[in-house]
Amino acid sequence: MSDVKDQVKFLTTIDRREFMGLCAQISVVLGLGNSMVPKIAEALEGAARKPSIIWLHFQECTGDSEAFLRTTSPSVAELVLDILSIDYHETIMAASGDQAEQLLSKTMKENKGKYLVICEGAIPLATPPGPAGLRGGYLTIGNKTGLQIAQEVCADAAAVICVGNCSSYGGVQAQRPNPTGAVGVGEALGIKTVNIPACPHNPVNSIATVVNYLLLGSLPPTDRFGRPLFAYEGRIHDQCTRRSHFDAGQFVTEWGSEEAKKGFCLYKMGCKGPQTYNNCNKARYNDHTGWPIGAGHGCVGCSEPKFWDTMSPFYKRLEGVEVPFGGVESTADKVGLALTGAAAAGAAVHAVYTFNKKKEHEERIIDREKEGK
Amino acid sequence: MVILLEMVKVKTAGVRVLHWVIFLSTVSLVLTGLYIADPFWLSGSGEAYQTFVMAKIRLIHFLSAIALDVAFLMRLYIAFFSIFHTDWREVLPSPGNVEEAWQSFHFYWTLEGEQRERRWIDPFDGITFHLLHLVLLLQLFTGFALYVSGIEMVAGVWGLWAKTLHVATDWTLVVFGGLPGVRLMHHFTLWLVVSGAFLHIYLQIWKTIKLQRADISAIINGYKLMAVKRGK
Repeated sequence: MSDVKDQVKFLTTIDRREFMGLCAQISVVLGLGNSMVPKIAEALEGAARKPSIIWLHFQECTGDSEAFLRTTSPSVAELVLDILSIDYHETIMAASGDQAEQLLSKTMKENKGKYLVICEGAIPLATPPGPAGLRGGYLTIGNKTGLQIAQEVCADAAAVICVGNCSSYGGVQAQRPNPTGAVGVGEALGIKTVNIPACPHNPVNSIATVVNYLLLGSLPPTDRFGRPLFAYEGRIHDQCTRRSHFDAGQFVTEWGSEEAKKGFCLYKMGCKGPQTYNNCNKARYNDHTGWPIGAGHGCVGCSEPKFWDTMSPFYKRLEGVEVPFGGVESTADKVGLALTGAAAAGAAVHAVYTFNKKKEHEERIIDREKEGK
Repeated sequence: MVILLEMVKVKTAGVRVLHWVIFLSTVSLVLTGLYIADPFWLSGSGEAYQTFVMAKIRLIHFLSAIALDVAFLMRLYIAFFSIFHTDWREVLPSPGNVEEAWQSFHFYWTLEGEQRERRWIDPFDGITFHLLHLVLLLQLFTGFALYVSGIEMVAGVWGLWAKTLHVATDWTLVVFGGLPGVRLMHHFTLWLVVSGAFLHIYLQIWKTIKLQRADISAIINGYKLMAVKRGK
């Protein structure tokens, strides 16, 4: 892009090839065949049915917007202007202040019951200390709490799609001790949402969910955590490119070692692939070029509920066990070995004591009871 | 003191065989389980296609688990429907059982009080077996929860099997907090099995030596000794 004219052209024209590329990718992610690509193109192009989308930000890092904007096929401009109609997005919209709020209420009014809400970020429910304590007051935009905004906007929505772990399950800020009482959007509002967790989510999955809605008029089937089955039915571990090394017993035991260079399995480095459901390896990030395990880092399980609490420590295979007394973080092995050791010690003490006790115990044994049968 | 001892049949061949199947599969499960948890030895050398260490160890683990579970269920059936002796009453804790088990416990530590000679499983053993088998059941459920987590998008009989396992084990995901918690519990329960099995073996050896009623013999040839007559 050497000059402004080219840039403008790049931003405003639809490159048919890229567009069809996107349609093909979505078809793959949804598990449909080649024959469905024209239908997907039709669904996306149908101007009358172009969905109005309101993108809400709560407690988050904008990572999911970033991931969404990093798609190159389609480009950001195509996504925002041509394919979807993202009418309200605090980060990328031109309007600000009152203008933005007006846009939000206008979009809601004009598309009542038809617009899609995409949520990014967790909703805090705790009440901050102080005289003006307001439930959910840790997050306010325009004198409204995140909870109020979510309730207002989601009430008339056709569907609520949560992108990223924060809006799906609360994410990192919902982990112990969770000072702001953060929860996922579905839990905060008590509604059923389609969750596209991961940190950040893969935009292919969120666009595919929208396409599913456009094609069929309904949301995709989900698992018990609200995740679409087309993307979250399989474990990372079972579709991993390094799986053959796992089965071969070839593991990385040290970062930067020869094994790491050879691309051996990261199981011993604490990879959480065996307990994480996502399609990272099929869909991949950054224009479908890479994903964490491909880059040599173990999976941290970011698409699972409570991923920080349950998946940490990230570089160990099993989490620590909190021993009730003393609160010492230990491992299951240490506690288990201690138990077995205690049993052995108890047995040893018992043996020494009873075998040294010079006592006639035979008469203590009461003769067998009269067996009835 | 003279005691006349008599050999009494206490265990049928089926019960003994099942006991040793459970023993062997448990040993196999503990060893392979420790390897799966932390592949500390036997790392595959050469190219990945030339070796299959982890996959084979996991296969042994799964087969042993199936053997253990089938033996467990068969033993459960025998406990209720044996034509020789149904022993489910001895294993279930009841007020009488618990009291006698406590007396036994007291006797084992002090050699005082009284120890009732029992032909069938005595209450102390019965209650500890009950606990040990609950632990094994927990292993069964958490193990199958981990196992079925790797099965996706299947139809037919195999899909029915996966669905059955989901129905049977999905509660563990709720109770223990997702797959990481289930995995941790499955691993920790291994140590409960190991320490429980250790105590069981120790107690049987101790009883055989100290009480001289050939308790260990019962699980090998089916007979143990019981007093018929005492005299000076």
